[in-house]
Amino acid sequence: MKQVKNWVIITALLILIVAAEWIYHFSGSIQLLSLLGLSVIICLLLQTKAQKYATLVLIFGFLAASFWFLPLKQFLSFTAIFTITGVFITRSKIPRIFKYGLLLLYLIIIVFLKFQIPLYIYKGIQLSMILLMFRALIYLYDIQFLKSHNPKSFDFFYLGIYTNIPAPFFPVIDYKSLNPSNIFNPDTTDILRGLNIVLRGIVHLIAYRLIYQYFVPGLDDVDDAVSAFHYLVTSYLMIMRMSGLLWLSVGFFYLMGIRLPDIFQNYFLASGFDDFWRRINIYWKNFMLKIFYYPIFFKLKKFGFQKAVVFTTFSLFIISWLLHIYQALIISGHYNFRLTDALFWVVFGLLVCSVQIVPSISKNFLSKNTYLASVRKTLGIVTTFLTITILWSIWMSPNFWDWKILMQLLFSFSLQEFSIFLIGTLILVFVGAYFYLFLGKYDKPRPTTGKVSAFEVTFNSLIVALSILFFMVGERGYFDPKLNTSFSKFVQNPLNANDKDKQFDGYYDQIIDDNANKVLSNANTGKALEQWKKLSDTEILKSTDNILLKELKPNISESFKKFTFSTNEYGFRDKFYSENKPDSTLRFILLGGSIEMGSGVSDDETFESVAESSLNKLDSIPQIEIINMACSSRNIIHDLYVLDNQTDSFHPDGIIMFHHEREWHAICNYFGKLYREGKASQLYPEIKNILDKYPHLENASNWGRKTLLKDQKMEIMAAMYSRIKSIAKARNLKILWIYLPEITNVSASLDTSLLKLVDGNEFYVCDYSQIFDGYTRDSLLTSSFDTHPNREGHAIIAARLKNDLINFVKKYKNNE
Amino acid sequence: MSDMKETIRNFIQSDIANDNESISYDTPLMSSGIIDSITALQLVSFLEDTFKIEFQPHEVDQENLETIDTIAKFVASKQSGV
Repeated sequence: MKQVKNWVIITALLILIVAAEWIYHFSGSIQLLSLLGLSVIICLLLQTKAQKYATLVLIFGFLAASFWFLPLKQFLSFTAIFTITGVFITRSKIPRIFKYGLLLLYLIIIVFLKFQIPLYIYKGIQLSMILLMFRALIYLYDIQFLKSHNPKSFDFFYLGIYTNIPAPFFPVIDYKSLNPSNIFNPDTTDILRGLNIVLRGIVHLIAYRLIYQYFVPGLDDVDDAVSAFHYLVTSYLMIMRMSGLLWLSVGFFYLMGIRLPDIFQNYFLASGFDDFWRRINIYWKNFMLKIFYYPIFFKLKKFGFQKAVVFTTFSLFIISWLLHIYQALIISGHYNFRLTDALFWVVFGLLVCSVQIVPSISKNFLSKNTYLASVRKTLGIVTTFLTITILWSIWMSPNFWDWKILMQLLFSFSLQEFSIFLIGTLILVFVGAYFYLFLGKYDKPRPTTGKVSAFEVTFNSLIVALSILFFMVGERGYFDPKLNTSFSKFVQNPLNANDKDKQFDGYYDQIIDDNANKVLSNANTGKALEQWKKLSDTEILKSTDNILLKELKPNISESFKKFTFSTNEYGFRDKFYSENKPDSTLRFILLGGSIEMGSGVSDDETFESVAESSLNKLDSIPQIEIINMACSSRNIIHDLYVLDNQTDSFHPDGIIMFHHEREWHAICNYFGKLYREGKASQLYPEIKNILDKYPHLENASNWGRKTLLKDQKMEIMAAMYSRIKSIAKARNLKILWIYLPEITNVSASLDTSLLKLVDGNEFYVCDYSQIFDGYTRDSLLTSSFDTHPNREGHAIIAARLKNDLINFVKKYKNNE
Repeated sequence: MSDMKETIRNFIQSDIANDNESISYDTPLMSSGIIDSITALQLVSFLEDTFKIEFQPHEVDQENLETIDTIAKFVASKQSGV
């Protein structure tokens, strides 16, 4: 009866997991559904007579997973390279040093020979190393001391655990603690426990997605102590993505009958730095203890227990740092030395060492079940959480300067803010202590065998079921439109503001190139992205040393983002216009960047082309010409240069300028590039004088630059617009200035100080903040990974531009 | 053997565990978190000094230190040179 009950619960949990993953794709490139399907087949095989050949069943898992997740050529190269390496490591009698040597050779190939060998062989070596990078070290260490050897097929299974194939970020599983004689025979309790752990992982990923989509403030909004604190805490909470993914991996082991202990233990409840180290990624800690900590300690213990412990502990963190470099080298093929990485591990090591030196409060006092002891414990939890939050921000910062700016903001609090923080913390400690007094007894490692906690299964199932229910309610249109739009963010999981910034910085282009696994595990996406080149990677862009100019090559006809891309003899993405303007024609010049150029649409679909055609079908206004002089990656500084130097010969009557939401972001990015390349001297002097007051502009990330320059933003913009106004006045040009938001921003609005500035310059201002309202935003994008408008998006802009140009023309006609 | 177990138990009870944790010979020590990386080394130092044995780094693990029973068995095997 109990068996039947267990199978019913197992089926229900499986349905929940499949439904949640199907809807939300929580696991991303790990492809939980494929792994789950394969694991269920393996689990069922292990229930039958095939159990006798358990390790062979699992080697079948290895082959099946490789075949499923990899393109054919990579599958062949990976399985061949991995098998030869596995046999070499497990069966050959040669000294261990040569086996380490082979791993080193692979590492050298990964780092230095990326473009020298065929890609499928490179990927085969890289994926082999992803699987072997830590487990081969553990294996080679453990087999020295084993009293009896495991079957070689088991060793091969251990090195090539199939669930690791789509997941480069994988728990560091110990070899010695896996005993083939009492595993590979999962009973219903194991399966139940495994699925519950997978559910636990999904709950972590749900929490992560909530934080990522709704709670992390955009870095652009981080400009004071409160927002810096908010950003730090929510950024640290996003660690739940890591724990969620690792829990998923651990859950799968139970389906093979491998009973692994907890990999995390309520790490947010760590009450000290050493306690945090004990609770976070426990397998990593155990790996470090076994391979490095104990051997180093035994070498040093002759200097005295205390000294040996402190030195060994500190050295452990330095080794952790080096191993993360090793891991990054294997997964991405390169490693950029970052001061913040070194700082994180050194400070973390010093904090843990300090606990060994400073006498701590009596363990007996803390273990007492009294409110006072609970208060002390909760105080420790809050202090550790806050310290780790700051420590974590060091690791997460792209560079030291950004972290310094963030800390300057954090410590710029007022007395009132500090008082509120202090009172809030004290309330948290005293109220939290009550909870800890009653619930603290549950804060301990869960057993790997015996009854599965009914409470936890119910809790996890409820959370996941609720997420499914929300989706069903939303799908049936029961939410009001605002809530529905907001909820769709949770379902579709678009990049949040900070990641979008990285996308605009080219970060994702780099990631796409670097993240071998992404390409390995999702061949279709990888292929699509390979076709999605940046303009700078094509033959379309003209190379120039002039930092103020970006130009297209003249007379080209290429395919760009799968659409025809042609330029005229001047290098404009437009038809030919003679320099001499025809009589009774109004001529406008369109300046701008990639959207205006028409990135992601064909030549005749750009909003400029569509608006021009439809305007010329009207009789009420003169003939209109719009010359598209836009080019990708331009900002207002480039536009100013083009206006000053390239427009005059075409005798325009007016200029159409677009201002984008990310204009300031693009400008600051551009400043950083100029300073890094030592070309800032070519900037307009009034801008350079402002920028020269700020050291380290080239070192900080774009957020750092934006934060440093935030008080100068309007001064810089005013200087640019003042030059534009002078040129326009001298040449009798009218300026049509348009604010265009991003398609995906549902709450865009034009900055009032900017509006005041352009109004003051006598521009004709059009605010397109609401232009995409009422449309399904995603249907207006070029692709899921490119936020430029597609044909429909351009048509919407064209329709609006047409009307605005009619009004613009009428206004100036009347004035004349 | 029982004297050895009692000596070990007394040490763990007084120097490692807290008053609330009553340690018996089969209480899980490492998997339950009573013994962590540092206290494992304290225990190893105590065992080396008390029973005149020498640990190797790879011997500091759950297999040998999980309960007082396994510790005593391991110490005995060390003493007998097995």
